[in-house]
Amino acid sequence: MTVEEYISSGIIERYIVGELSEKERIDVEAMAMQYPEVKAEIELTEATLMNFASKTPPVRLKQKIAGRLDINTAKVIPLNEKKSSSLMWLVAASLLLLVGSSIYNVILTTKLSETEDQLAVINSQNQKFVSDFDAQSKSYGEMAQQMAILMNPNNNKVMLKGMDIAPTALAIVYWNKQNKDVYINVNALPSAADGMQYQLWAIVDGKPVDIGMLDMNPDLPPLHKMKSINGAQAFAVTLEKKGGSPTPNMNAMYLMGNV
Amino acid sequence: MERKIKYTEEELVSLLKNKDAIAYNVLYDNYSASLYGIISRIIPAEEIAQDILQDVFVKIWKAIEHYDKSKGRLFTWMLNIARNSAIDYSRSKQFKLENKIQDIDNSVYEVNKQKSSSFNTDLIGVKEEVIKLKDDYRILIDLIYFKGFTQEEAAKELNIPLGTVKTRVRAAIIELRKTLK
Repeated sequence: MTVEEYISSGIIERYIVGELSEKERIDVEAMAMQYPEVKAEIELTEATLMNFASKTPPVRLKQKIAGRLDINTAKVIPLNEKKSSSLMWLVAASLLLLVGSSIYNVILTTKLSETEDQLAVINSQNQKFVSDFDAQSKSYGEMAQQMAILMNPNNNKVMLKGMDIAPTALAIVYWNKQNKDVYINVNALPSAADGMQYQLWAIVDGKPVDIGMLDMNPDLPPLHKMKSINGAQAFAVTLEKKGGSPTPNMNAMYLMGNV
Repeated sequence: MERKIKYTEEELVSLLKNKDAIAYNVLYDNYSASLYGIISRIIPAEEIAQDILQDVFVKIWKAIEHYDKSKGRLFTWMLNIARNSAIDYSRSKQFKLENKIQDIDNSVYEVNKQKSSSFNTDLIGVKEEVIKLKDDYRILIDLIYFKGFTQEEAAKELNIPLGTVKTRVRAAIIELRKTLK
């Protein structure tokens, strides 16, 4: 049976006039709960029957009947009303407070989580700044050291120029004749093949003396400290097997410069 | 019939249970005309109908705290109190002795053209449109609504099929609805 058929089955009229069995009545009420149109039909039918043949009694009857009823007195009414209404207000206010506080709670939780996220971002940024700063400091310290080397008037600047096998190669050696310190700055050198490494030689009294291997790591400061040497007349760079050779390979001389 | 404030059934019941002046005003303003209409339809004598109406309100007022909405609509409950009070009275010795009023059966459902004047607005305050309700319908509504017949009893009483009763009651309600504002 469709809702429409149910409504027009006549059961609602019977429900209003009170002729249904308990089972039928419960059924109608269940239908009314489920279907708004059934509920509306009940209300409309009731209003129709209430309106049908209604007859307004004489006005005086209202007062007369009131006199026969045990109506809660005027003194009690406002008190009761006040009590119940103040209780109602209290309940309403509490509910409002509860709802409000729940909403506020959600807002606060959301804000807290946002704030935590922001804090995490700021912390990680801060860490980055600290590490950047450390790196910059370190870098600055290195630069200052390198500057000191360059600015030291006791350091002799020796240009090592590219030989025929690498005409564009270039390096500068800074050699302190007083404390014997040697630094090299490689400006340009072809990258060494695997298993090979550049080696710096000092020519002392016409003989090559090993003063260290070149570390081509680009992350290191440009000026590399080499082994100290005394009485060098010239410096040269050869390509040797990794770790260096006791004597230079004269066929693989890349750079050479006289003091 | 004035219904200034529209309450839901639940609001009305809990309001009435306070049994204060507001409850009484709401009860009287919402239901007195309908209940008086029902009583008057069974007991046309105005003074008696008014006495019955008073008794009905006293009964309602006393019993309202025991009203159980799971047992049906508030109006259905009041309708039954009013109808039973009027019918009880119509069956009493006093009523029969007084014999001033038409037999209840006549006033309730033996409606015909000649008697339609006894159902006019002057007597029971029925609206003009209601008077225009077809006799077939009106007899049925009177039986079921005022006399408390079940549809099955009405079918037997009028010697028509139950299906016809159902169809007519439905048609009558739809017709009556037009009189609602």
